[in-house]
Order: sequence, then structure tokens, then C-alpha cells
Amino acid sequence: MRIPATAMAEHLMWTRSGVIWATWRITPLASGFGTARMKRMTKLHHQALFQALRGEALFLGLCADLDPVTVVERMLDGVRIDQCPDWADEVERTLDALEKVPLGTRAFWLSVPLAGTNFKARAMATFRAADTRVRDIAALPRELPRPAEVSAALRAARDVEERIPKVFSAVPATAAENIWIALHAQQRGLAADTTVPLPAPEKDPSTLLDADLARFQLPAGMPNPWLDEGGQSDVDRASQFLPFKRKYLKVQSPYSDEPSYQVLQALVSGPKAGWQSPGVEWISAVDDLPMDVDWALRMTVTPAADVRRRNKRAEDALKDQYTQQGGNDSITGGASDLAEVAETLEAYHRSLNQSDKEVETQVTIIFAVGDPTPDGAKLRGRVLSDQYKSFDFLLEAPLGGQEELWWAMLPGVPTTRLPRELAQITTGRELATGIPLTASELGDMKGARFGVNITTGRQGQILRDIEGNNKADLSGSFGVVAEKGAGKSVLLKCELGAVVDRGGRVLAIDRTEAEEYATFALTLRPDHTAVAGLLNPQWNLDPLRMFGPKEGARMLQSLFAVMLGLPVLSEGGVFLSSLLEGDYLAAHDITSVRRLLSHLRDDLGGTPEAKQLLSLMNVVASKDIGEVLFNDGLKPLDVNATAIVFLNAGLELPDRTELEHEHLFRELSLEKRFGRAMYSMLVAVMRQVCFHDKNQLAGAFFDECHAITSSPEGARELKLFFRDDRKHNAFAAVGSHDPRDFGDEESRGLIKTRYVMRQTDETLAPHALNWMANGLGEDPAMVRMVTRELSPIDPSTGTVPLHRRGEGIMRDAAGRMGKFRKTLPERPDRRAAVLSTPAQQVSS
Amino acid sequence: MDEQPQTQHVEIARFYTRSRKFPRLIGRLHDGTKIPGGPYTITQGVVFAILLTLGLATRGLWGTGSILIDLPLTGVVAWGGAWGAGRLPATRRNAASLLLGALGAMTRTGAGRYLDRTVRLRPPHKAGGFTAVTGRSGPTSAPHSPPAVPATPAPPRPAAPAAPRQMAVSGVERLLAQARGSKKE
Repeated sequence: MRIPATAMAEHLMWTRSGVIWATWRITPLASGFGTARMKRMTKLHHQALFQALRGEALFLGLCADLDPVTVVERMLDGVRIDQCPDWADEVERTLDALEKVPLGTRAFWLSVPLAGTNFKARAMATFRAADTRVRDIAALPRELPRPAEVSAALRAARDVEERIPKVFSAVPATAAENIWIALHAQQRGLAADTTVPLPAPEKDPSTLLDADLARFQLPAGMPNPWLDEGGQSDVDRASQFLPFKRKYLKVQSPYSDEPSYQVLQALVSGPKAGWQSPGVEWISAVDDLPMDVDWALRMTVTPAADVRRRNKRAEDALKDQYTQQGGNDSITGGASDLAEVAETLEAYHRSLNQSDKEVETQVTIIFAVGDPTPDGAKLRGRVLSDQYKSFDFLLEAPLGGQEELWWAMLPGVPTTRLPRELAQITTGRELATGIPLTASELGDMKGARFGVNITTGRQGQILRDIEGNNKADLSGSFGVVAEKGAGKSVLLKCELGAVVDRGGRVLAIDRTEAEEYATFALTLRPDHTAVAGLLNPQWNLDPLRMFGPKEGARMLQSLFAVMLGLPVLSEGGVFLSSLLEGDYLAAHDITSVRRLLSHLRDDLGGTPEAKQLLSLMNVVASKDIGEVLFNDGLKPLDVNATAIVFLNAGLELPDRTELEHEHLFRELSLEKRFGRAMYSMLVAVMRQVCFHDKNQLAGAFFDECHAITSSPEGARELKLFFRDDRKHNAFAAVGSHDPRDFGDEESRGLIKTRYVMRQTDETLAPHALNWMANGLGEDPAMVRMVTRELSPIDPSTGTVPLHRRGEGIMRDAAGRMGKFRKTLPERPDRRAAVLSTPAQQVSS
Repeated sequence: MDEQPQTQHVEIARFYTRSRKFPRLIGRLHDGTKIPGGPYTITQGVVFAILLTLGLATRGLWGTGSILIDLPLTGVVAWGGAWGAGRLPATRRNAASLLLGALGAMTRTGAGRYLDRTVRLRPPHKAGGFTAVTGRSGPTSAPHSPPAVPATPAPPRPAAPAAPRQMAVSGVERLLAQARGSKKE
């Protein structure tokens, strides 16, 4: 057999056998995990696809072994590298780190021999194949298919395309993709793949030129392989007659120096009693293995009506067998075998009758593994078959049939005897339980490296592009739910660092005694970092001084409303509002709260309203906690700093009961009133700063989010943040041990990117899961995962083993879910800064 | 392939390959009489037929000369072979196809296949060919002449009368010719 392509145009391939094949790139559905309903939908989409096809089809799931440079380029995309030296350093180190890990993605194609053309077109295609052969022999130039032939084939291909459910967004495959498929098959296991060519962008019909309509690609780029089944060339002549332990194929591609050894196995039987779905995703399960396994499904789809006739014949043959084998009624004898066949036939008939749309799929399921050495290939093959065997699915690598199976995995090759013999018969519904066309990819196409996708055994890199999400009109905000010590603050700090390194700005509220976030922020850009303590202030946080009279006055009014109990429409509130009018402030040169205080005392001393306001303000101004607002000796906070951290440790806050019961509220201590008011003001300040400049990404980090949302004002401010973040190129990052701390249902729903890390508490875990996806918390398997399987603590040491730290489940901005492991920054200083736990800092 | 909770909607799927592909046995003749020792698989039938034909065809090599002895003997051997074929483990695959696959694997050459052809490396050989050179000047040695041949000057060929066009010269010779031509000018 030879490379089948003789000419390629668009996504069509004219082949040596005279059949025209059309190929589409298939977008996989999101797998990983999800609610039972989501899993069911995935299966139903597959079912719809299989039931829509007729005749022959070839599905391919090939693992592209990526070059680390591809990943790193995606990390640099959109960043002005000359302005971000820290990021350049990080990316460079990431490249080194990625050299050591396998990187890959699985790409999917559907290839169909076009049978839907008319007789004339088919005759023409056959003639074309014969003509090509003659011309090859006579060394004459090849003749390309005529425009009429191309358009007839395109029409037939369009008919097939229309049958593919839209959810798989089938895109016509380019000639480059066809060549990639051929080359990948020849270099399997050599880690020599280039990035899978992107599908062609959709053409705008108005710009179509005649030349575009049928631009032919001669398959000159198609590499011709040298094939040696059993590696006969590696052994001496005497051993060549003993091929039994060499069930592999040696393939040499013209583009690589070393040969690839491949083991091709076909699925020859499944569990006799069947398998459960969802639960046994028997095709996509190859992704659970820590190695690349390619698969191909070569199938013939027949409508149920035709199959019933075939089954009738099978039934007749079965009856005849009862006669032929009659009298043999031993338990282990032929009669019991026949009873089994009868049972299978009956079950098949029943299954076919479940739906009028049902089809029969005769499918040959081929798995291929490759390695640079024969022993490596055999080992991989054995690992694969053992894995399947443990679930009662048997794989067989046919002796002498390796080459035939290898060809069967290529589009354009007609189905030969061996794949037919190895075909399994089932219905479209039941084939769909293998859910082959799924991928567990997470995150964004470019951006900062977030972590490793550990949903399946094939570990991909997760990139996060917050700015890209904002620009795509998704929200860049994210939330993390985890118990203490599960890695929540490490995750937040890594993200904080990445934003600054990539040229963004960050603000954070730090509630830790050890000043965890402040210490970390100071390692980023020390000269552009402002750390503002509320209790021992180095900066003045007076809104009038930070933002000027216009914006500052509004913030001040809200601050006093909460802190001094002065509702805006109360007598005192209206009086304060009149003082904070722009003209009034300018006329009396009131540029700070301290000056407002002096103005009240010195200029307005007589009026009762002024007296009352003055005495109220003095309650705070005369205490040490008031210094941060009233001390004009301190410089106002530089709101243009790249990183601003507010230190709130020691600031007291009222609890929920105190806020809900009037008598307790009235007795609220000054510290608690101050704390509550300052918190909501800080959120407003952060929102103001973040929303200021659309051209620069700005993020607000709120760890221990309950401190903010425990007061209605704080919760309201946060909700405003979530509502408008993307419009201002800003995002909020919130963290807590319970998602209910992120605000009301609406606020929680506005967070698009969600992370849940270890939460051993069995009552809190379902809350976290239900926030991730509605109904997920009711799934006991998911609860078990969050409580016990994510970053489990080793009882012998009392700590989480290093390689299991930072595990969690995530839902990305596109709504896909999967398991991740957070990676740390590659720069050693940054890594040390991220990892320094509060305990270490206190002792040091 | 995780175990799943029983609460969600679970369906059972399976392959129905056995409903079509099951071993067909022959146990009775057309008139319904049982074949002794049966039923037999088709493989057994084929083995029996092959052995019987082979046995009878090669009677000249081993035969006793008497058909009365040879025929039952062949029959017994063929039946033995068929019995043996019946003992072969029943697999999901066709026995003939398995045998063909194994034979194919054993007899493949060590040179592999390229463009659907067995790769045959030709042994080192001389790339021969004659070049007729006509020239006005002295002798030239043909490029194919083996180096072992002593460089004896060839007898001067008679210059072709009125034939300035030179035929089949090498690139180097063409260069030399050009140089000569330019000198003349």
C-alpha cells in the first residue's frame, strides 16, 4: 500500500483507489467531570453524531507532542516584553522547566469517503485513479481533477458536513493538516511533532476569487514511509522466521533520522454483560494513561432497517446451528454457546428497536503507541492492553497485521480485510458511551502559566489570560475556595505576582498578622509598592487627599454614614453633604478631613449641627485608630503605585448577630464601627483605583473575603466590582473557605473562573461544589474528591507530599471543568516569596 | 473509568459482535443424518479435505500400492488432522486469517517496503555507458573509462568533415570548447 493521496483541494483528497475522501477537524467536547446531566449531554451529542453518519467513516484522535516553545510563545503573546523584564525572566525559566515534561494536546478529525456523488462523478473518480496510475508508470505529468469534478465532490462533502452536529463545530481540514496526520503517523513516539496546523479560517464569500475555488495541493509534501513489520531489518536472517515476539511495526519517515517503532492494537472484545455509562468511558479512558496513545475508529454505519435483515439471516443461521449441533446439550458444549449467541442477538434486536434513528456501527477500534525503541513500544503496548484488560476490554496486536492496521489509521486508505475482521458490532447509542471526542483542556489559549491540568493522565499546561477574558467580554474575576493550608493564598499570591510581572497593577487587603501579602508585594517592585497600615499608618488614607474633592467627598460621605451613624438623608447627613460640596470645599480650602475638622471647630463653632458633627468626628479623630484619616502629617497614599497593600490586621469587625440585632448594634464598640466603615471604604477605594485606567489591567485581591461581605456595605461594593470589572479592564480575586462569603447568590454567580481546593469538611465541601456547578455537590464522588483526594495529607508525616501540593478543581471562563495542580513561579526568589508561610515569617 | 454513584441515570452498553460472528459447525448431512464424531467446524472440514487430497495426491511417495490400504490410511490421517484442528483454541479470529498473518510475518524480507515495493539494494555496480565525442582537437578519454586502464593515447579519430557542431560533450568539455572558441576570436 502507498500513501493514498494523488491530489488535494480544500478538504478533499483524491486517492489511488478512486474514492474521494473529505476530512474535517472536530472540536472536542469538554470532558473531565461535571454533573450527571452534563455527562449525559456529552454522550447524547456523540450519539447524535454516530446516528447521523451513513456508510464509512474514520475518526482520528491523535496526540500532538508539542514543542515547549509553542507554550512559551503563548505566555509572551500580548505582553510588551521590553517593559516587563521580570516576565521575560520567568518565561525563559519556564521554557527550561517545560523541556523536562511531555506536553501535548489531542487533535480530532473525521474523514469520510464520499459516496453521495452521482454515478458519473464516481466513474470519473475511478477513471482519474486509473489515469494517475498510468501516468505514474509512464512518467507523464499528472492531470488534476477538473472544476466540475471538484464542485461535485464539494457538494457531496457539504451533505456530510451538514449531518455533523453543530456542537462539534466541524471545520474543513487543510492539506497541511492531512500532511501533518501522515507525518505524525510516521513519527509516532519520537516527540518530533510540530504544532497541529490550525484549521483554515472561514472564507468570506465576497472575497472569494476564482483562483481560491480549487487550489490544488499535489501531495508532494506527503512523506512516503519505509515500513518494516516486525523490525525484520534489525535481526539476522535466521531470527526473521520467528516474528512472534516482534509484534510491532518499524516506520522510517523521510524527515526523521531515527525510526519509530509502533504497536497497533485493535479492540477485540468487551465485557460480555456490558458496561455502565456514564462511568466506563472506554475510548476517552486512554487519556488516563500517562503516555500518548493515538486511536482511530474505522466504522461502517448502517441504518437499523437494513440491519434487521442481516439479523434475520443471523437468526436463520442460528436456528440451523441448533439443528447442526442438536443433541449436544452439555453445559460447556455448543448448545450453551448457541444460547449465548441467541441472547446477544435478542439483546441487539431490542437495542436497535429503542429508537427509529438507531444505526448499526461496525467499528474497528485501533490504538497505536510509538517509541524510539522496539522494547519501549512493546512496553507501552502492554501497559495499554493491561489497563484495558483490567476492565475486561481485550486488545489484540495481530501478528502480521501491524502494517495493515497502521494503514487503516490513515484517511484515504480503503478498509481492508483485517480491519473488517476485527470490527465490533454495536449500536450508535452504545458506541457513544466511549465518548471519544472529548478533551479536558482548561484555561485560555495564551497568558500566564497557571498550573498543570491533571484531569487525566495526559498533563497539559493551563494558561490564564485575565485581560483576554475581560476583552472577550467574559469576566476576569475569580474566586478560590479552600480550607486553611490547602494552597489558597499561594494561588492568590502567584496570580498577584503574574499580574504585576505582565505589566498590570494590583491592590490587596492583607488581614494576616504576619503581613503575608505586604511582604510578598514588596518583593515584586519594591519601588512601586505602597503598604498602607490602618493601625500604625505610614500613609494617610483620607479620601479627600487621595482622590481630590470630587470623588473623595462622595467616599467620605459614605464612610461617615457608616462610621458615625449619619445616614445621608438624616439631618446630620444633609449638613455634612452641604459641607462636602465642591465649591464649598474650594472656597474654604478644605483639602483634608483634618481641615474639615478645624473648619467645623473654628469657623462654624456656633451652629448646633456643626457642634454635633464635630463631636461625632472627634470620637474617632481623638483616638489612635483615627490617625490614618486625620493625621495630615502623613503623606496621602500614592494611588498610582503598581502594588498597594492595605494592612488590616487587628482591625475589629462586628459579627453577623451584632449587625442583625438592633440592641447589639447600638452597643457596637468604636473599633468595630471604625473597622466596618474602613473595610467598605477600602473596597470602594480599590474599585476606584482599579476602574481608573482601562488600558492597564488592575486586580483587587480579597483573601478572607468574609471580612468584607459581613457588612452589607462591603458586600454591595464588592458586587459593584463584579458587575463592572470587565468594562474597566479590572478583576477581583476573592478567597475564602466558603463561597457564601463572596456575597449573595448574584455576586457568586458573577465570578466566572472558580477554583475549589482541598476542603476536608464534609458540610462545607458540597457548598463549594455547588458554587462550581449547580448540583455538583450532590455527587458523592465529587464530595469525596474534594474532601479526601485533593492534596491529601500523608498521615505518617502530617504534611502534604511535595508533588501533591496545590491540587484543586477549576471551572474556567468558558465553563469547562477539570482538575489542576498549581505550579509555582520558576524564578527562585519569587518561588521563595510565594511559599513563605506566615509561620515562617513570624519566626524569622 | 471510575465507579459511579448509583443515584444517577445509568445505562448499559455492550458489543453485539457475537450475534453475527459465531462459529458455524457442521453436524448433519443434508438428509439430516448425524455425521459421526461431529459436529465439526469449517476449519476442521477444510483441514480434512486438504489432508485427504494431499495424501491421495502424494500416494506415489508413500503408498503401499494397494488403494484398499492407502485410502483408509489417508482417511485416518486426515481425520486425525481434523481432530487436531478441532482442539485448536477457539479465538475471535478466523483461523485461516491468523495463519496467513503469521506466515506473512515470517516471510517478510529484512529490507522493508517503500512505495509498496520491497526495497532491494543493488550491489555496487559500474554505471556504464558510451559517449560518442567528436572533436577537432586531439584525443579525449571517455569519462567512463576505468582508471585501471593505462592512459594510452587513443588513435586520432578522423575529424568529421564540415561538422562544426559537437555532440554529447560533458560540461567541462563545453567550457573548454568555449574557451578555445573565444581564443580563436
